[in-house]
Parts: sequence; structure tokens; C-alpha cells
Amino acid sequence: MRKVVVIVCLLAAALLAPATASAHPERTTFYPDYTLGKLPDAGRGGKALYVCNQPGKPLRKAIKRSWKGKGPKRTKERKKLLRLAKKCRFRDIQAAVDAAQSGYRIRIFPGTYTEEPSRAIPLNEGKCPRSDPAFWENTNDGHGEDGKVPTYRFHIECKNSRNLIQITGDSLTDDDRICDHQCGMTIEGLGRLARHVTVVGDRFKRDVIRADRADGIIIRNLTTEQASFNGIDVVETNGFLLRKLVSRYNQNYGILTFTSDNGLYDNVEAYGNGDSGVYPGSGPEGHCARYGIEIRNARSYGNVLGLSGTAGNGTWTHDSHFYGNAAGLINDSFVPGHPGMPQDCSKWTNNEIHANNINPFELDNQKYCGATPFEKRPRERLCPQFQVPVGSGIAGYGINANTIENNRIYDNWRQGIGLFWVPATIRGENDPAKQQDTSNGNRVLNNQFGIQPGGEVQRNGVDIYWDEQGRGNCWQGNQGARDGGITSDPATLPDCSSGGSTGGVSNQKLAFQVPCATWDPRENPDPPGCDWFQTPPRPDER
Amino acid sequence: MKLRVALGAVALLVVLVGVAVAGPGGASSDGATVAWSGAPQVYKPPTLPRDRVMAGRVRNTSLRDVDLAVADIRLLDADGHPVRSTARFLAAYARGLYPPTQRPKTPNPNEQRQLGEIVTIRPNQTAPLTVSWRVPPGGKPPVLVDLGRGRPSLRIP
Repeated sequence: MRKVVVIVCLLAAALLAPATASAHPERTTFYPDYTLGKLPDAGRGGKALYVCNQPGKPLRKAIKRSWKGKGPKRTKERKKLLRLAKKCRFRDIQAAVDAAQSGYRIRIFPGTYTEEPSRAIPLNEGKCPRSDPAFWENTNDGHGEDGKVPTYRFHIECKNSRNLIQITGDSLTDDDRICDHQCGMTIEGLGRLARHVTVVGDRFKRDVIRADRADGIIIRNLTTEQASFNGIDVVETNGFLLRKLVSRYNQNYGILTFTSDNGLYDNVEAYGNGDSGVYPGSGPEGHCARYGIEIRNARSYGNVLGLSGTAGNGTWTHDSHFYGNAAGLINDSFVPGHPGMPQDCSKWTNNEIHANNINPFELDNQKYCGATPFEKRPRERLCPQFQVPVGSGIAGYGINANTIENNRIYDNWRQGIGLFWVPATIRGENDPAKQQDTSNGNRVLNNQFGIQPGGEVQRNGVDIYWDEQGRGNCWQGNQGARDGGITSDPATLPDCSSGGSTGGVSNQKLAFQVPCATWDPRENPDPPGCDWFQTPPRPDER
Repeated sequence: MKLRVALGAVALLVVLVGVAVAGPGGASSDGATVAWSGAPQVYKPPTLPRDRVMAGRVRNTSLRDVDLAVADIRLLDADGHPVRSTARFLAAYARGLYPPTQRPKTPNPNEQRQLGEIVTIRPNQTAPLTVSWRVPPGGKPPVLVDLGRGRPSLRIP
């Protein structure tokens, strides 16, 4: 009898449960085998192809302007580049990429690059029709562009239809997803500053530079801007170095990596991006045994988010500076289709996270953004693509086994660090046994709250805000501005020596977040019950 | 043990049939009924004095699946006037993959479920429901959650 009841119940559940979705902003992607890749050697050589958009006298002027000065280093570099200018054969970066083979270096002289031949190719070119699954795959959840996203084959056969510049290393003759050609390439600006080589998006193409299965790529010393999605996008790539870059004024992300491994972001600057300055999403599956992506010396400011990562796993961010955003850092386990869910095992150390209080959610701005498409806005206009709790230093939504240690977190008017549960069903995982599988095992250690490096007190709204959910979350050794102690809600936090939290949740704290899910800049810019979009008062004025 | 399982199943059936028969006042045109499962909690956001957030769970008290959609939900004051509000079948915050302005024209049910925009509740099962509202100066607070489509309204405590 019991067996029958159980079987009937299981059958009913199977029939009635909603189908698991699999969706992502990308096509279905897979992690590369990290044991087969490595971080590229920054000092490597290779045959060089030179790009200049204005040959002759204008090029010489651009070199002299970029390297002006009388010091021996600049003089030497200037002379060298003036000599090399004679080797320039390409007017567009993509043309040089197309002529390159594995191990080549694409060296770009100072100037502004608009990539006119790529712009001339229509977005979503008709020869790769949406009706053909070879070019567009269903996301099964309505996301993508009318529920479809382009396949890898799309990018090969309709080159530059969605990307101003693309490096696609995998051949279509095999299905191993491993780079076959255009591997180990370097794309580098030759200006003194990253700003001296600027690649300008057309505001329609999704990425300014897309490196797709381009193992071993180095991109350095240049600026990207005005992509309709990402300034730089590195996908399914085993080994990458992103160094001395600026990415700004992109509709969504400045620099984004996705299902990539063995990577380093170094000395990157991102501002004016409508989602995140940097986004190491679907990060390496190191499961706390290793960090497959390192981010150091990043400066990310004036974005909606300084850094974010859905399934931002296995990433070590250190010695970086996230300030002047609406929120500093957010990692999460929200949406389906991101390999590596739920998020786990990243580490943030020795970062400075402060003054993340800018508010692009002011109603006037939202009204403008809702009524004006990206391509018609001034490039500096910051229009939020997603809702965030304004005034947050770090927020973790459904994150596991992360370490936040030795950071300086101050002057974030809502909260220094917030930690929240995300039920598994929200990412499309409906197994009842997995519903509590997020917001566990996070450690917050030895951070300095509410004091800037000079010693001036600049409090956070509250140093720690926690919804009290999860097991093994712990706080220890943190210092605050108030008699050395930190401020927190709840007032008492479990320490690590006792094993951390043991479960439970504040339904009230969870409930206060829910109305914010209804945000829509056009239909519902100020949802009742949601206080995320009000700039919190400066803590000293409370 | 077998007897206990059998008795339990019979008792459940009696309750469900009883609820279905007792439908008037609570049943929609398809016979499905829902009710609060336990008392919902009403919270006052500290920085939003005119706003409230109410969180609870709704139970399908009928014998058939019930499909609910936040698009159908209105919060009504004592005079039957709608109050500005939000609703989600969620107990915690969620967001979608793409920005609200870039969602497809035809919503996909899977994504809508993840975002708590729609829900299917099986008989005797529950689903979270969180609503919020803002009472304008001089306005009246809501007293009912109207689920639409002729479904029974839920009282706001």
C-alpha cells in the first residue's frame, strides 16, 4: 500500500513539477579542462602585425602625442615606435586578427578605432537565420533574444555580426571546444596609456572585443567602450591575461569572463557601466582547492556594480579598489544557465571598498533611461540594467564557502557587507533537498570597517547585515569604528572558532527584499516596500 | 503501518472533498480554492513609513491544481479600491537573467516561475506569497488580496 502511495505521489510530482530551465546570456558553455591550460606568459614574443588607422603623418603625430616628454624612456620608446610605424599594414584590428595565426601579436598604434568594416555588417546577419538551430539555440526560458542565443557557429559563419572584434580559436571541424588556431595571441595597444588606443563600439554590436575559445590570449593596454553588452568578453577560454585595460560606458559590463579558467585581470579600470565594471561569472570550479582566476589592482567606480559574478566561483580578488558605485561587489546564485551553480569558493583580500552610494535609480534618471534607448544616450549617462541595494559595500546572495579577509570597508551608507539566502528554486533547481544549499560556510575575517586608510572615521550604515540563514557562516577578528567593535544586524554574530552559524532565518529580513524583485525602470521604478533605491542617509547624520 | 497509511489517505480525501463541496464563497469557476496557510506576517520597513510588506504562504485547499499569477493580483481597501502594491510568489529576493527592459515580449513560464510571477499549487500544497503596498497620504490601507479570475480573496490581518 505504502509503495503504491509513494509511486503515485512521485509520478504526480514528476508530472506537475515545472520543467527545469537552462538559460544564460551565453550559449550553452562548458568549463575548459584547467589542467590543459595555463596563465599566458606576459613577456612572450611572437610575430607582430601592426595596426594603425591613420598612416603617415597623422600616425607619427599620434605617436609623438602619446609618448611626449623628454625623459630617456619616453624618447627611446617614441623613436622605436616611429621606426615601427613603417611596418603598419592594417587599418582595422579585425583585419589583423584575421591575418594572424597562433602566437601572433596584434600591435595597435595610438588612435581611436571604430572598425568600420565590422560596423558595416548588420547585427544578427540574415545568413545565419534565427530559425536554424545551427546558429541560434533555444534558451528554454524565454531569455536571450526572444528566447534564443547565438551558437559558436554563428560567430564563425557570421563573423562580426555581433562583435566589433572577435578572436574565435576553435575549429568547427571537431567538437572538442579547444582552441585550434588563433591561440596564444596577443592584442596590445602601443600607447603610453591604455586610453591612447581606444576601440569604440557602435552601441548595437554586443561586444567590442570577444575572445571565444581563444586559449592563451593576452589583451593589454587599450580601452574599450560603448558596447551594447560587454566591452571585453572572454568565453570558454583556457588561459587569459587582461592587463592595463580601461572599459567604460558599456550598456552592461566593462570586462566579463565566462566559463573561463587560468586567468588574470591585472591593472584594469572600469567605469560608467550599466551593470558591473568587472564580471568574473561562471568562475572556475576549484571548489576551494584552487583559485582559477585572479583579479588584482582593479579600479572599478561609477558603475552600478563595481564587480559582480553570478556563479562567480574560484576567483581571488585582492589589492583592488571598488568605490563610488551604487554597490561595490555582489556575487550571487540567482539565475539558471550559469555553469557552476551555486556560487562557491571565492576570496576577497586586501581590497578597499568604500563610498558605494551613487544612485542611478533616482526617478528622473530612471525615467530618462526607460524612454531613451542605449544608442541615443550620451555615453556618460549611467542607466542601471539591474536593481541593486544602493549604499552596499559587499552583498552576497546565495554564496557559499567564500572568504572575505583583511579588507578595508567604509563609508557605504546602507551596509558594509550583506549576506542573504537564495532558495535553489530561484536558479531553476527544484529539488526540495537543495533548497537550503546556499549562503553556507562563508567566513568574514579581520576586516577593518568604518575607518578610511588615513584613520578618519567613515562609518558604514551597518557593518554587517545578515538574514541569519545558513550554516557555517562566521565572523571573527573584524575591527570597527565604534570602540573597535563592528555594528551588525543581528547584534551578535557567530564566530569561526565555534563553527559558525547553525541555521535559522529571519523571515522579516527576507521579506523586505522581495518587493525589490518587482523593479522595472519603466513600469515600477519605485516598488512599494523596497528601500533599495533611496540613498541611505550618511551614517553620521542619523 | 498499512492501516495508518490508509486511514491517513482517507482522512485527507475527506478533508479535500469537504473543502471542495463547501466551495461557495471560496471557490473560483474551476472549483479551485486557496487560503492562507497560517497567519501571514505584516512588516513595517524601517525607512518607509507608508509601506508595508506582508509575507505568508497560500494553500491550495481544493482537489485540483490551482494556477495563480501576480498579474491578476490586486490589493483592495475597505471600499474596494485598489492600493498601489507588488506581489511575488517568493519568500526571498530573486532576479532574472536579463534586465527588465530586455525581457522577451512573450514571457516564458519557466522564468516566470523562478521569478515568482506565476505559480502552480498542487492540492493541499502551499506556495509563498509576499505582497507589499504603499498607502498614499489620506488613503486607506488594503484589507484584501484579490487573486483575480474569480478566486477567493485573502484577508490582510
